[in-house]
Amino acid sequence: MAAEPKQDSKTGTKSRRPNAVERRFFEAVENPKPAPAHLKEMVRLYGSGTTAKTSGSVKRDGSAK
Amino acid sequence: MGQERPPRPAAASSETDPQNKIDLARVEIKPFDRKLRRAAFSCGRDNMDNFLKKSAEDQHKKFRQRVYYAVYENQIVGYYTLSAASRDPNHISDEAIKLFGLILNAPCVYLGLFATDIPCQRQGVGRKMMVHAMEMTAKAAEFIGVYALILDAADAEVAERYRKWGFEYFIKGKAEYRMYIPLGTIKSGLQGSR
Repeated sequence: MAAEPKQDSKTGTKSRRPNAVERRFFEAVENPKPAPAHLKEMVRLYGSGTTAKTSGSVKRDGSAK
Repeated sequence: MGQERPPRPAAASSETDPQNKIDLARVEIKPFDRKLRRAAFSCGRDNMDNFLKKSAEDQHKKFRQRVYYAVYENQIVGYYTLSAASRDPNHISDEAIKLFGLILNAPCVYLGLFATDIPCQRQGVGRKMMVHAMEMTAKAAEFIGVYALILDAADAEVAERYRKWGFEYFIKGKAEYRMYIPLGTIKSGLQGSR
């Protein structure tokens, strides 16, 4: 059962602790797994080869430099 | 109607007859083009066929979704759509806000529809479109914040294919197949293979 939302007294915004699904999503976004070999092979075969060179502002793991 | 229809690029027996295989190197992924004939397209799912025939042009023109075609010999052999999406703000917690800054939701790119013409299925058109969708997501992330590419797989078999490509289930083991692949994983795939 979902936790009861608590209300922020200043903003009136209701919030609650993240459930397991949300936690997993945010953890995956924060610490993304490397692409599986299958995907890398797909990119090698079908990729345009341009996206990876669009900007130097993103690290290999997707985080900002 | 059958007489008006141009020859399809590959026959339904393409898996068994190598002569009917399409040349993937000549399949181009392009934005919606109203000059290309949509009536002949059939992926085997009515809702996806109907979208292409009845709604795609309007949605694309109004920028509500971006429609991309896979085109082979001037015919549509596949299409997919992208739009901005967000996780429901009601599902974002204080803890998540602390983790990810003062945002009220998690911006994502939604891969809404994804379909390949029946004669061209299982020949790599879908894989080519998926790589293109990931490249577009990575490009979009250069301009607007993107956490992940998300989609709803049509069924368990399709979802399992996406899982091999790096997608993860929001909720596993239930009769829903909403999945995501973090931007970092996409970037890793696009950069790591070079």
